[in-house]
Amino acid sequence: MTKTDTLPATTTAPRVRERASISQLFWQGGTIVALIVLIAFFTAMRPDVFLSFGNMRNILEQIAILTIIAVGQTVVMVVGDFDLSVGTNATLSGATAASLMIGGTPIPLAIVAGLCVGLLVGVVNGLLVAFLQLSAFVATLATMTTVGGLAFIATSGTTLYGMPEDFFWIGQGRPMGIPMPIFFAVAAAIILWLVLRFTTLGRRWYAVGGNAEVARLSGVNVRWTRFLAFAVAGLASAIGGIILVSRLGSASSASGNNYMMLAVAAVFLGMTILKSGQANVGGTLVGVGIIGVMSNGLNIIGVNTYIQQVLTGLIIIAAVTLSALKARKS
Amino acid sequence: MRKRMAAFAGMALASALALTGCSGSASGTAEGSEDTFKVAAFTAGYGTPGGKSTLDDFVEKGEALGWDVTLYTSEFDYDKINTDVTSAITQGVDAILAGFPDPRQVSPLVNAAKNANIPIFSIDGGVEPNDDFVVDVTFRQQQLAELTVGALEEAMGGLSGKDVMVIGHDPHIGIMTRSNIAQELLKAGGANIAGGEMKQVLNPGTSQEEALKFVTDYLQANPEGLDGVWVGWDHAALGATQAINEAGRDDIFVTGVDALGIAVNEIKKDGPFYGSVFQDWTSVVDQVVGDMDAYQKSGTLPSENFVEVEGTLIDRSNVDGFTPAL
Amino acid sequence: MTAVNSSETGTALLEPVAALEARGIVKRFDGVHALNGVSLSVQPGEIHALLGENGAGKSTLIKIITGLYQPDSGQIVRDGNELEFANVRAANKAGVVALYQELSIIPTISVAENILLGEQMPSRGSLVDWGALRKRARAQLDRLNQRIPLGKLAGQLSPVQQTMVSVARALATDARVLILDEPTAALTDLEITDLFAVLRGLREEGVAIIYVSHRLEEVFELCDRLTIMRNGETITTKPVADTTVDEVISTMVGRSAGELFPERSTATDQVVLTVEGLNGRRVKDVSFQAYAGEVLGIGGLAGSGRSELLRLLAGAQKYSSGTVTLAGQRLPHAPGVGRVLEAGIALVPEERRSQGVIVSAPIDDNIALGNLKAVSSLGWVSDRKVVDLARDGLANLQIKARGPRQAVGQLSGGNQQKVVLAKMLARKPKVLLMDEPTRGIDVGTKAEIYRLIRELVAGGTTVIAVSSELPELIGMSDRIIIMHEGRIAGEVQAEGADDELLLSYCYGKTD
Repeated sequence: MTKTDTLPATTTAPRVRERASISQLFWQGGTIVALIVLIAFFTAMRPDVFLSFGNMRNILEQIAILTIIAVGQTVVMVVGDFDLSVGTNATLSGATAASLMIGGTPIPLAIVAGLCVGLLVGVVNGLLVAFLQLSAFVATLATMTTVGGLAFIATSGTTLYGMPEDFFWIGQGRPMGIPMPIFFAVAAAIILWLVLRFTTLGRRWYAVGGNAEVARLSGVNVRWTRFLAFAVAGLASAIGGIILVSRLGSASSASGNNYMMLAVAAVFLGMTILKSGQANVGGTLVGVGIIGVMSNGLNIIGVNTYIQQVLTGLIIIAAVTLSALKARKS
Repeated sequence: MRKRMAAFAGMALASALALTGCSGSASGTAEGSEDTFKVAAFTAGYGTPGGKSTLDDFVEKGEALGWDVTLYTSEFDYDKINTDVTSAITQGVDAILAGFPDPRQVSPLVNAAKNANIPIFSIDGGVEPNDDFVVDVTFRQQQLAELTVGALEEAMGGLSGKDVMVIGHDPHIGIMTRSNIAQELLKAGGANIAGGEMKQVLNPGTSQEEALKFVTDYLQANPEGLDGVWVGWDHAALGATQAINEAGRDDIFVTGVDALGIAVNEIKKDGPFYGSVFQDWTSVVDQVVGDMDAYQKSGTLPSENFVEVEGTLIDRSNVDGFTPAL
Repeated sequence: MTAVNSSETGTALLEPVAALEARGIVKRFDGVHALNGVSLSVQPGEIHALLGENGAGKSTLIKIITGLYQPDSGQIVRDGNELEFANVRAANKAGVVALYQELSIIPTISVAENILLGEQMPSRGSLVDWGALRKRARAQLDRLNQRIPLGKLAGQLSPVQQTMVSVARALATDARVLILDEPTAALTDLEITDLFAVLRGLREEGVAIIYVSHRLEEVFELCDRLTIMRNGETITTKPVADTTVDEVISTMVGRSAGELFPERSTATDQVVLTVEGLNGRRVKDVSFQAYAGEVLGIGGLAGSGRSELLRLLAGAQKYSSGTVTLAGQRLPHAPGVGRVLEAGIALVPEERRSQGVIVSAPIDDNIALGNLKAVSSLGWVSDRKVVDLARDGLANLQIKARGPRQAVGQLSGGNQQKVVLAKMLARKPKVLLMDEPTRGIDVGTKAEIYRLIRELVAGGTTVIAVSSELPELIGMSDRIIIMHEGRIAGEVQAEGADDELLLSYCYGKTD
C-alpha cells in the first residue's frame, strides 16, 4: 500500500503491454510447475510408455468427463460459491437418461430429459442460494443428499443396462481415433472459457465473485447472475453424467458421485495460478491435468491405489503451498 | 415475506431429505397387535445390486407369513445401522435379520440383541462361524474362488506362466476373502500376479470406471504382460472387459462374481468376459425365512449356526439357458 | 512558513524525557524510501497530532512504532531507553498500543472479554475467572466514565462504544503511549465530544497520545502539538496554538492550499429531478427538486437517513411509496440499480472498498463493470473498448496508476475514489449521487474532487452529494438540504450559509 501511495506521477505514462504476458501469468503458481514435474517424472520412469500417443489419448479420455464437470464448477466458484451437488447430479442425470432409453424413449429425447434433470437441479441450487440467500454450502449439501437419494430411486439401487447401441457412440465412439468424450470436454472448456473471458455475462460472474455489493451498485443483477452460474454447473454435470453412462454402458446408483471432490480439487488447484486467486478455466484444466496424470502415471508405474490417494492429496498440498509461498514473496 | 419463503423452501427441502433418507424403513406397518411376530431387518449394502433384491425378497416373504418386518438400510454407514437397530430392539422386536452384515462393525447392535435375548439371523455375515448369529447362511468363498479361477484357467489354457491381474476391494469382507483365496490359487497354479499385487478399488460405487482405468493404464505400460483379469465382482469386471475391448485385444479374459444381467450379456458375446458365478440368494432367503418361521412357531433355533452354500458358474457353456436374477 | 523548519533536534534535548521518541527512522520497500529519516517525540500527558496526506508515511511510521515493521535504521526510545520491538506484542509489553481504523474488537464475544483479551484474561488454572474478569473490566470502563454493559456482545455496541472498549483494552494492558488512527471516522459529533472527554482524561493521567486524523478541526480542538509529514519526512513539529488550519494544509500539500473549493457559478432553474413523498427505510416523506448544473448538498447526523435517501434514488433500496421523476420521465417503482443507471442516475457509494470498487480487479475491469453495454455488442465484450474506456478515465480524472491493468487495491484512497467516479461518469449520468465524496482522502485529492464536481455541473449534470462535514457541505454545494430522522429539516443556500443554523437543523430544529 505505502509503496503505491507514493508512486511518482510519471508512472501514469501508458505502457505498451498492459495484459500480463503468458509466461508471467502462468508461472505465478506452483501448480503448473507441479504438473510439469509430474509429467517429467513419469516420462523418466517409463519413457517409452508415458508420453506415447496412445497413453496421452488415454489420459485425455480419462479426464474428459471430469473436465466437463470441473469447468461447470469453475463458473460457480468464479461467483464465489461452490456446488457440492455436481457429483450426485451427474449420477442422477445419467441414470434418468439411461432408464428412459431402456424404457424405449428415443435416444435424443432421453438425453434432453437427462439434461433437463441436471439443469433443474442447478436451477434449484440457484434459487436456494441466489434468491433465498441460503449459504451455498448448506444448500448444495442438502441437494447433494437429496439428489443422491433420487439417483438410488432412479436406478432402484442396481445397475441399469441395455441402452441402445447407438447411444454408446457418445461415450465410446472414436472418430479419427480420438475418443468422443475428449471432443465434448474440449468444447465445454472452450465455450465456458469464451463466455468467462469475452462476454458481459462472464464479466458479471467475475464481478459478483469479486464483490457482490460493488457489482450490484454498478447495475449488475446479482441474483440472476449467481442463479445462472448454478444453472450452468447443473447443466455441465448432466452432460458429464450422460457421457459417463454412455462411456460405461451402464448407470449405477453412485457412478458419478466421486466427481464432486475431484472437480472441487481441480478448481482449487487452478485458482492458485492467478495472482488474484480467482477460479479460471485455464487453471481448472491444469488442475484436472494434475489429477489425471497422477492417476494414470501411478497406475503405469504400478503404485497401489491406497498410496495413490495419499500421493494425490500431497501433490495438491504441495502445489497450493508453493503458490502461497511464491505469492507471499512477491 | 422473503423469510417466510425461505422457511417454506427449507421445510420442503427437509421433508424431501427425510423422504429419501428413510425410503427403506417404512416397509412394515408400525402398529402391530400383541402377537404379531416383529422382525427388524437391516443391511448396510442396500445400494448394491444383490443387497437390495435380497432384502426386498426377505421383506416380501416375511410379510406373506404375517410378520411385521421393518427394514433399516444405509449406504455402508454402520453407525446409522447400529443406532437404528438398537432403538428398534428397545422398542421390542422378536427377531433380527442381518443382511450382508460386516461382522466387524455390528457389535453394538449384537450386544443390545444379546442383552434383550433376541436372536439374529444372518445372510452372508462373514466367512467363518460366528456366535453372534444363531444362523449365518452364506456362500462358500473358497468355492467361489475355485470356480472363477478354474474358469480363467480354462479360458487362458492353463495358469502356469500366465500374467493375471487381481482386482479386489478389501473393505468388503466377502470380496476380500475370495480375492485372497483366488490370488493364492493363481500363484499356486504358477501364474504371475500382474503388477505384483492385488489392485484395490477405492469406491464400490464407481468400481466400473476404476477397473477400466486400471486395465487401460496397465495395458498401456505392459501390452504383453496380461493374459487374464480375475475380478471379485461383476461391476468391476465389466470395466476390465471394456478396457480389453477398447485395446482391441481378444486374448485376455475376465471373470467376475454375481452373474449380473449385464455381465451375462457380455458372456454371451464370446468376448473377454468369460465367466461369472451365480449366487442363488432366493434360496438363501428361503432357508433363513424357514429358520425364522420355525423359531416363531416353536422357539427352536437352527442346529448349525454357519451354513455354507455353493454358487454356480455361468460361462459360455450354460449362459444361454440362464436367466439372471439381478 | 519556512521558519517552521527550526532546529527541533536541539530543543528535544532540553525537553523532559519523552514518553516515546522515534529518531531518524528510515524504511525502504523494494529500495524505495517510505520513510527517510523521520523523527517524532511525544511527551507524557500530551495529545500529539500526526498529520500528512495519504502516502506521506504516517501509517508506516505507526507500524514501526508498534513493532509491525522493523526500521532499516533509526531508533525507538521509550522513557529514555532505546528499544527494539520485534513484534506487536513486544511493543504492547513496553506500553505502546495502537487502535486502528478497523476497530480491533471481536464482535462475537462479550465486552468484558474484549477488554481483558489475551494475557490479561484472569483465570484459575485453565478456567476463566469470570468474577475477576468482570471486576477488572468494570474498573477500566469506570476509568473512562463509560457505562457499557459488560455482558453484551461487543458487536452489538455502537461505533463509539466499540472505540471505548478498544481504548479500555489498551489501558488494561497498562498502555502509556496510545496511538489512535482516525478514531472519529465512524462517529457522530456527539460521540466525538464523548471520546474527546475520555482522551483529555487520559492526558491528565499522563498517557501520551498520538492522534492521526484528516479532520483538522478536531486536531485544533483536541491536540497540544502537531507533527506534519510529507513524502516520508517530518516537515515540522509545533504547538497547535502557534499555527493555523491554512498553514497546516499548505505544509501538508507542500504548496499554498489556496482556495480548496472552486467558484460556484452554474446552477440553473431547469428542473432535472423531482422527488415527491418518498418513504423508505429511515426516509420519511421526502420531497425536493434538483436543478441542472447545481450541486445539491445533503447533510444531517449519522443515521438521519441521508445515505439511505441516496440509495433509494439510486435504486439500491426499495421505497415503499413516493415518486421519482427524472427529466420529465417518472421512474418505475423499485426498478433496481441497473434500470436507474439506464435512466441516468448514478451513485458513487459511501464505502469505497466494499461498495465502490472490486479491489482485487484491475482498473479497466472496474470501470467496464458499470459500462458493460458500452464496451460490448451482443453480449460480447471488446477488450479494446475496455482499455480505451479506462484510458479515458485515467486521463480525464488524472488517476495516478501504472496503467489500466493495475489492481485497484494498490491505488491510494483518492485514486480509488477517482476510479469509482470514472466508472459512473462514463455513463454520462444526468444526476450523479455522491455519498461522502472525499471520506478518507488527502487534502490535495479532495481539492481535485471538488474541482471535478464543478466541471461536471458546468456541463449541465446535477450532483447530489451527502457529507457529514459541514465545511465541505458548505464549500462544495450550491444549495443544502439538512435531514433529521428521515425528514427534511431545512434547506439553505450554501453561499454564506451559517454553521449554526445548519447544525440546529441537524439537531431537529425546523423552520
